[in-house]
Amino acid sequence: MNELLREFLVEADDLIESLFADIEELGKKFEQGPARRVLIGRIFRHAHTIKGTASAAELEVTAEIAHELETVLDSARLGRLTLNREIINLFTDSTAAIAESLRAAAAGKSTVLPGSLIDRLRTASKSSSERDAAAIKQITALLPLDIASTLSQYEQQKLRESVAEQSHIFLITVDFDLENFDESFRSLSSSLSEKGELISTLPGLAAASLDKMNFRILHATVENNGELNERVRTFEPTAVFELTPAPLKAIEAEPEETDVQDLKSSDKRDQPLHASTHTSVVRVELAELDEMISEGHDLLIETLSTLDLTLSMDLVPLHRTELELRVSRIRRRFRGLEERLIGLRMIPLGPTLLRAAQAGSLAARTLGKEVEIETLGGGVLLDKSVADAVSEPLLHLLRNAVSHGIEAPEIRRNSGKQECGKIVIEAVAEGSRVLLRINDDGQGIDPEVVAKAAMKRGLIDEGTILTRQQSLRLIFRPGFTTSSTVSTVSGRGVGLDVVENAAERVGGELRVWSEIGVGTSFELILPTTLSLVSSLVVSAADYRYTIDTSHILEAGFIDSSQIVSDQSGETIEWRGRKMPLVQLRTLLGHQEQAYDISPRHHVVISHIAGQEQHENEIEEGSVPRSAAVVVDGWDGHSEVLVRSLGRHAAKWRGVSGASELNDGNLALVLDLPRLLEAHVGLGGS
Amino acid sequence: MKRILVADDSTATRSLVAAALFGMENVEVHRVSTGLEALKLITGLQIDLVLTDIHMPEINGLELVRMIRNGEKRRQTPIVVMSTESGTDDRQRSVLSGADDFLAKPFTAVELRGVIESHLKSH
Repeated sequence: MNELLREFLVEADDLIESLFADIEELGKKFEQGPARRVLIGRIFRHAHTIKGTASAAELEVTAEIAHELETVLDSARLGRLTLNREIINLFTDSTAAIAESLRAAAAGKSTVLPGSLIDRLRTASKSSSERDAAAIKQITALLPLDIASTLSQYEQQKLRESVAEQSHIFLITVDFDLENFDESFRSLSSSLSEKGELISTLPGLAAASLDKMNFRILHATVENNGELNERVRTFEPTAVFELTPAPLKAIEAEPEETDVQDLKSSDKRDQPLHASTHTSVVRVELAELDEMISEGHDLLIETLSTLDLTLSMDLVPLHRTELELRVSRIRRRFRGLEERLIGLRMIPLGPTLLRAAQAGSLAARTLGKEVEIETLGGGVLLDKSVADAVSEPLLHLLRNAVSHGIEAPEIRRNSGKQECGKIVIEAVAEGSRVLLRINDDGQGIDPEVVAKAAMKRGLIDEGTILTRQQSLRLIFRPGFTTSSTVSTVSGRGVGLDVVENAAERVGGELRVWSEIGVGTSFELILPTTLSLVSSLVVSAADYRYTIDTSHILEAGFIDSSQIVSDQSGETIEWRGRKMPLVQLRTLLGHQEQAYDISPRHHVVISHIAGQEQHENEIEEGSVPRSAAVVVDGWDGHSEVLVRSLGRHAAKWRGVSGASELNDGNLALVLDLPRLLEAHVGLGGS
Repeated sequence: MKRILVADDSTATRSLVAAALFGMENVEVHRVSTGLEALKLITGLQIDLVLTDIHMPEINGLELVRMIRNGEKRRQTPIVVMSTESGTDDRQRSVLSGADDFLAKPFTAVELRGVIESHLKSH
């Protein structure tokens, strides 16, 4: 017998002993989530070890049984197979067969594969079914992106089950002294395991200093925020974040309600969410909430059209007045209800901003730059899906500001600046929009350098004349870069075009201002919520469209005589400013209408995307910042529920979604500034 | 002298790897049985290559890879993950976590040496 085989047999004895013990324990505890996962995890690991070493030692029978057992265990730990007594007996039998085959090997005898056992194992692994992948996705969507993308299937499953079991999810950040971080980690991990389980251990975003080891621990526990904080207090964590998402976490019920309702969503039918009996709080999934908002809106439309029908009938004047009053009251109350429901989707931006700041600090340390990063407006609320969509792009903007904006300390010193750079991330709520600003006091962007680089890469033609703003916006073009080397911090082949696309996908936009030597400012303008938008309904060529009123500077009428035509097209003078005039029909590719068919025309004045004026900037030459758009007519204001067109929406520049009008018909939601940009902008006519 | 760290919770695998590397010139093998032990060793000792299993107690192999890649020192150390491909996404996860190479178990001594030599050389 060779040395390896001898060593393996000794180790295998221990493994088998522990397998038997764990399987027996599992038989008692397979209905308790955390205990089951710990045991299944360990049994899997041991079976896996036996399989690996047995195949290396050329013990084929042992390796084969271990392999089939491992497959079944894998299904169980990934939640595809539900454990029962029969399956647990199968684990015991398999372990016995492995032990038997090893005894034979030790005695130098050959063995044959136990056919019936292998059949049983294969049947068990086949009976497992793929669980709903969407449910896992929904839960990982709650996590910071850098964590979500690295979780293994097994970790995702642990997380999914924990959430279903009503555990609280926390992200604990700790700095341990390099000297004894292993002991500290062990004692923290064993303390945490008393009331919960560690889902995953991750590196920290930034260690406090070189003599520290920084961990982030994703932890699921039955303890609440206060209890957990108390538990980990002695380990002096730098942060304890609760990740149980706000919309899932708690929806405050009416105070007088004593009964707790259990809202089940359809894809959780096999794991009912039991609400705690001690609090007046229920949980509901984001998708369920969206359906309720949608359902409520449909109900409003149904009700209003029924009432419209009634009003169109012959009514006694007194009844008519009464009915009209009721219609307006119903509308108002529905609107209030919708607003409250939509409000439940909102989350504070604090954690998102903080994470961006941490990513920036990490980038600064990697590049040997000194940067102070300040976050403001963490209390500003934003729709969860919008916040998620821009969370990664925001990290990118931060890394970008650190690597391309802030200069190296010696350069800063030489140009009379403080060595330590400053970046401010600020969230501001502004009506139906949220502005996310990233200001740095770095070197700024030189529009000339940008234009030259773009020409060199063939993004624009040689000799194209561009305004300052147009030049700056070239940095948003796919494939744009001014540096020839790729830095590890921000040069991973993902440019600012990705940030802009992410913003557009949720109906927002990205702007940039910069002054050489003074700094750069990026501004993400985002809709506060994706759901309800105040809109103007317009028509063009027999179709109706809706336009977000925040995009409309003014709406009014012009006379045909005000239109000035020259070789570059039509212009009008609006409140003393000359601006291009264009028909919505033209923007949408319909047949144009002659202006002389009517003496008066409906126009909507909108700014042109990419041509916004910055407060510190002087008006530049003759480049139009806004335009007048002629529409066939309008149907007044309406609060519309915007539905996403899914991933296709991003492909159609200028269309941000679809909405249902009050008469039940569908209309496309137009992004007028962007439509105009495509028309009069760089690539336009 | 090149130092190779072998992290695997199976003593037999650790011995197998050490045996396969026995006779390689100027190579010193250090063995540990969990990711946490590996991390501890790496912070105190200059290691030229890490060979790690995935399924280990305390801190698993993929978590170890991420910790090393994100650390202040040693972030460039070549890491080879070794695991049986068991229908899960081990190979892909290893690469995504930042491993330089993946070695499917069981492997031969010749394969192991080949992989190790190529990473020690290229570094």
